[in-house]
Parts: sequence; structure tokens; C-alpha cells
Amino acid sequence: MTRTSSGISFILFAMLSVALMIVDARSPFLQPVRDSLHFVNRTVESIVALPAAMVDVFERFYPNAQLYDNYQLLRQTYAKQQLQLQRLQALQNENVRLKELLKVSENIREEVFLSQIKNFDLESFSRRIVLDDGRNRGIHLGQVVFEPNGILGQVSYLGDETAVVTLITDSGHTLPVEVERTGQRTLARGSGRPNLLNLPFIERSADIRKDDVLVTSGVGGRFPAGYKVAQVEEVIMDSNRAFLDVSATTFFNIDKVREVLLIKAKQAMPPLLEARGGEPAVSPLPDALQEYFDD
Amino acid sequence: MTSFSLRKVSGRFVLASILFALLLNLMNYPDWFRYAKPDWVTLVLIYWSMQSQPRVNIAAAWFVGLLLDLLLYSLFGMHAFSKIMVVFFAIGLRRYLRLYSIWQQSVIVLIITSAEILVLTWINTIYTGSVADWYYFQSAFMSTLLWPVVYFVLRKFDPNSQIFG
Repeated sequence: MTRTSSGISFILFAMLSVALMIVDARSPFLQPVRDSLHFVNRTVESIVALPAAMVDVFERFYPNAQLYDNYQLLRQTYAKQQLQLQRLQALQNENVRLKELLKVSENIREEVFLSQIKNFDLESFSRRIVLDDGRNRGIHLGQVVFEPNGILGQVSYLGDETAVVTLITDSGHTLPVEVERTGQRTLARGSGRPNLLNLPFIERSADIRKDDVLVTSGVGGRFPAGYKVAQVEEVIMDSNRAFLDVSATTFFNIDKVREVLLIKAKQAMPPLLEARGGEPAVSPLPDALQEYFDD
Repeated sequence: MTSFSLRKVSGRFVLASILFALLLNLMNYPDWFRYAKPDWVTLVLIYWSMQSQPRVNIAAAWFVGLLLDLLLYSLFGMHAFSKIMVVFFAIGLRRYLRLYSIWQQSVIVLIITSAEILVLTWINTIYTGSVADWYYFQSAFMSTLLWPVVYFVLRKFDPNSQIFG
């Protein structure tokens, strides 16, 4: 291939690429293309997951395979319960601040289910993760995805058996949050860097300091309120600017996330605390694990 | 050895090497290594572009990039653009790449991979409004470090190199 002919090809294909990018960015026109080619994704993901799957199979042949199963079950139960406990904590805090109790629409009993992250790594720009469940589990586009330590992100692409999650730390993602200590409501924006959020709208006179905990405020209705998001890392005051430069570290560590949880909202139920007389509404242990806790 | 004809590496081998590089790109890496992932596809494309008769052309690179876009769930056309850029540079610079020692080649590879990351970051910034971060460029360094590996491994299968050493 001579230099000039490759030059012409390059210009042609470059223009074509730019056209494609504009179309993909501005319209859902190319979505059906992605959907119809999804089988390619699945095949490649299965191939790429093979080494890890082989290691898993190998591990199961240890003499204490039973222990491994129970450990997995314990992990999952623990993860679900951690999430439920967080909601309880947030409700207790609201009481302490003498706020009016939330209306019925907020007291929705939620059913939590776990999803495995497929062994799949995406490029470094977008910290997206791919889940092993899609429409078949009733997941919908935009659904909020949680991690035992708090909110992880939203489903941004949905397939029949796959979902791609965009994280709250992705640049361009905005999350309505509230400072737990003061009740101040603001927006947390993804920084593009792992585990780091920015709060770009804190004015200089605001009361915020390091180690303040941020929780979701529920403003806008997209994300449920009361879930932990991040902890303030740095508050920098620059005398030239009107806003403080506040950064916060998420409670989850993206490199360590193993399973995620999704919530299906069911019908409304009475507030957790009142109905149970102060006892936390935590689901009972599965029978298989009961033996570990009987003494 | 009487006849001195130049045998071409089979087209299927070229394709297989590119597909294998694609799998390597998508493979999981340990947590601490995540931002330094080398771009195997770029390295393999550079190798096949630097042949005196390049074994990949712009069109092929475009399709490879598009496939990568599909598999990474990224903006359609983003990696297609970056890969055609890589091949365009590599084909244009192939006279130098062929003459230079492995160290000098590495410098050119570093420039090409860094330029690719720069372009990808630009596109990402336009698309998502993200702020570019310098640690994305670790990947360029890692790719450059692995260039000798790709070069020597692929060369083993290249009948021309056996003749000329």
C-alpha cells in the first residue's frame, strides 16, 4: 500500500468514523446494530472468562468444597443485610434531626437481588462493569445498582442477559446527595478517576469538612434516598473562586467490587421501625447456615 | 536453497494474530495493573503495517477498531478511528521502523501509542465531558515495553525473517 493511497483511505475512513461517532452519540439509531451483534459480545465474553472459570472449577475439588459453598452463601447474605442496615441507619438519622417522617411512597419495601459481575474488563476511561443479568431478571434501563457499601451506578445498556453499569464515578455522571451531618443538599459529580467524586457546587460559606459522610438525597426521584455514597476527602478553598473544591472518596473500592445488588420496588409497607417495634427488619438466615449460629 | 522468492505470511495467520491480540486486550488483569494495560491490538497492527508489503490496510484496521468498539461497549467509531490512525502512521513510517534497531523502534511505538491514547481521550472528553488524566498514558508505556515481545514472537512465524536473519 503506497503512502498516498493509504492517505486517501485514511481520510475517507476517518470521516466515516466521525460520522458514526456523531450518530451513535446523538441518536439511538445504532442501538439495533449493537443488539443484533450482541451474540458476538457474548461469545467473546465466554472465551475471555474461560481461564477464570477453569480456576473456579479447580477450586471446587478441594476436600472442603462444602465450606466453600457455605462461605459463598454467607457472603451473599451478608451483602444483602449490609444494604438493608444502611437504610435503617439513614432513617434513624432523619429522626434524630427531627425531620418529618417520609410519606408512604418512600416506605416501599424493597426486594434485593444479587448479580454477578462477569469476568470482563473494559477500557480505563469508562469504569463500566458488565453484569450477568439483563432483561431476563427484569432489570430495566436506568435502574440503580448497589454495592454492599452503597450506590454504585446505573444500568446504561441493557441486553437480554447482560447489563452494562455506568458508575457514579464516571465523568459526566451526577448524583443528588446530602451531607449527613448538616443536611445540605448538593450534587456529586463523577471525576472519571476511580473511587473519586467531586462536589462542584459548594459555596465558600458552606459548612462542610473532611470525613463528612454523603448520602443520597433522593431528589429527582431517580436514586432512592438514604444510601451511603462517599466520604469527603479534601476541602480546598481557593480565594479566587466562588466555590470550594471538594472531593470525596466513595465507600466502595471499584477494584474490589465482587457482587452488586439491584432493588425491585414492591408495594408500599408501613415504616420499618414502627411495624417491628424498633427491631431492624433483617431477613432470617437461610437454614443451611443456621447450624453455624446455634449454640 | 536455490530460489529466493519472498513468501508472504498467510493472511489467516495475520487475522489470527489480530484476533488473539483482541482477546488479550479484553482479558482480565490484576487490579493494580488495570490502568497500565498494554494495547496488544495496536502492537500487532504496527507489526503487520511495518512490513515492506504491509499485511493490513486502513480498511482492515477500521473493521478491527469497529469490532473493538462493539466488544468494549464504547462509542461506535471511536476505536475504529484510533486504529486507522495507528495503521496510517505505521505504514507511513515503515521505512524507518524496518531500518531501526529494536530500541529505536520502541521510540516510534511509544509515540504512536501515546498519540492513540491522546486521540481516545479527546474523543472521550468531547463525548462525556470528562477531564483527561495523565495516568491513562501508563498504557502507552506498557505497550512500548511489550513491543519487543510482540515483534520477536510474530517474527518467528515470518518466513522472510528467517532468510534475512
